[in-house]
Amino acid sequence: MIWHNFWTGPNNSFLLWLRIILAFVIPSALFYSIRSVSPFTRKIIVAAAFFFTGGVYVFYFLWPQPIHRQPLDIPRNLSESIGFMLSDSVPVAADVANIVGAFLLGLGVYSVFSIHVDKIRKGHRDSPFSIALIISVFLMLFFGYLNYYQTLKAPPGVNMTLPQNWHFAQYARDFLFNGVLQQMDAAMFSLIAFYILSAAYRAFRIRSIEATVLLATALILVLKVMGVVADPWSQLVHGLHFGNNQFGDNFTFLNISNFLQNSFQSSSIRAVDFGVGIGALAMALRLWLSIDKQTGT
Amino acid sequence: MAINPKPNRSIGEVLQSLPRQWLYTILLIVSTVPLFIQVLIPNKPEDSSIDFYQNLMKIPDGSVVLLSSDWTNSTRGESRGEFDAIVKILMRKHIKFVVYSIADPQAPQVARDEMNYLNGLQIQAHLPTYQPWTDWVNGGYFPNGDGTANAMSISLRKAFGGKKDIAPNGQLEDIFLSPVLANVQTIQDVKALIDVTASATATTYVQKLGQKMMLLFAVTGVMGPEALPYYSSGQVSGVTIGIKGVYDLETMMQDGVNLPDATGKVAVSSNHVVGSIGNFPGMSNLGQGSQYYPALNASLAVFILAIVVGNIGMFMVKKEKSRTQ
Repeated sequence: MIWHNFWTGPNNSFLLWLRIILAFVIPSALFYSIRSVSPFTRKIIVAAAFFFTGGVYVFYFLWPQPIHRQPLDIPRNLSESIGFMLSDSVPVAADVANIVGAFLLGLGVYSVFSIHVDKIRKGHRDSPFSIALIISVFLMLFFGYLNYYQTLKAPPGVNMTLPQNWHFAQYARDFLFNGVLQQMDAAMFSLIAFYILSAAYRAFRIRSIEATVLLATALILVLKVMGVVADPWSQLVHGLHFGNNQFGDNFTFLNISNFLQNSFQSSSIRAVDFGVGIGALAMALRLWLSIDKQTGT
Repeated sequence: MAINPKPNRSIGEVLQSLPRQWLYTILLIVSTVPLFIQVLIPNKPEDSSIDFYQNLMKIPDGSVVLLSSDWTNSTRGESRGEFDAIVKILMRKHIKFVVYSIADPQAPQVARDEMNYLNGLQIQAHLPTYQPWTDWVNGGYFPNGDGTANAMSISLRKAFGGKKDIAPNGQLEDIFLSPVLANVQTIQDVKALIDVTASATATTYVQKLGQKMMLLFAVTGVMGPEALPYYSSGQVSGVTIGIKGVYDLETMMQDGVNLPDATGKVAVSSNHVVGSIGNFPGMSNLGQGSQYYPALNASLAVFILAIVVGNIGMFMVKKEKSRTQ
């Protein structure tokens, strides 16, 4: 038994096929059997699943890992075997997580679909919008998969992703994706600028010392980005010097904002990041060890 | 019918409560008109942008890099310009790349469309196009960014294993059969990871790949403050932020850094750079950055003006109140 090769095997070997079959049979059996057990047993099973899946990353982080490992390297002892197995496990865990993530996308589509079909069925006053959404989903699906199918079935040497080879399906997909969806996406996002202007005009008032400091800092950072102001100002202060010391250069908007960002902004963000990191660690431990109240209930 | 006359409002009150429709109209005009006027605004690139450009230019010609394209058209005002400038540099240095996303399912298609646009520009300029599969491949979307980045740090071949793209024969083939990745065995065979992002993907890459390879980030203005601490700590080799960052890149592509022109004048100088960094003379270096930068300046001027007007109004009202009391 080669420990470091637990997740893989030679192509078409009996061992590889056995693992593939077991990987399908065991989770399927587990999935169906879990439905018939008591809530307490179910809680134990869920906790065990959490522990083992999360454990891959925890033990990978804690256990010594092979450095500059080459494809043909073989472990020399148990410690290295475990290290090899864990490092082989992480890409597999990533694949599983990617597959689960893809299922979540499908779940999202199903959820949107069920809500809007229900609205149409009940004759809700917003049902015309729901109808538009369902039609849009189907149109995008149809032309998306037609484009995909035609790309796969293209004559040898013809790359259907290149515009010079496009037919109706590709133009339709491009119109729906780039002409409609992406443009609406951009339009929605650009609206933020108008709201920010309105909010800044109404709320950004110098009512206190804190507000004044905030406003002055924001002004310097904004002026740094504005070349029409920052460049003439730089040239003006560049003339201020004591002997060979370019004293005035300290007062360019670029240098002042660099000072503000490196001294105050970065350190503040690091402090926030540390706090978030410790919070995430605490939450991860609760989930991993199933001591969170919601787990299994 | 009785008509309610508008109460007489003081100038201060008027200045404090301008109708939002006016503000919106002014912003619409001010942010749109400069897009149609080509004005080159003087620019001094930021240190983080200079380092980004410097490290990108240091990558040996013909190398392979990873291009994490984590943006869609919602942030195209900034991200598209960054993507275009970076890909232009990669094309000119014949650096092959894998484009993929860990942030958005739409992103790989957006990147593919953008590559078609950039190849169109190459054709217009009578330059060779950057061929899909031969010069770049599309690695697609990874829903679990953290896990994928972790897997990449262990084995790039396993992390990207099974990903397929259209080969020149028109069929889907494993991307490791492409000339881009044929000689790539581990993450060390890739010279850099460039992340064009509008999301918090920068943190993921710093955590998982920061010690294994050079990281370069092209982020939106909103994400800039989150990426800068990694730059100032040396964990990231360069950061370019927002439209200003795009314009910085285009300025350096046009003028280089510490590079004298024919008259001996240095357009972009920096004591951050030892020696000089080259440019791309005679090529179309200016793009979205130079096109959008005047609009950014004008829009920010409107923001400042609006805040100043609001505050003047507030002080006038305060003064009137103190006088009447």
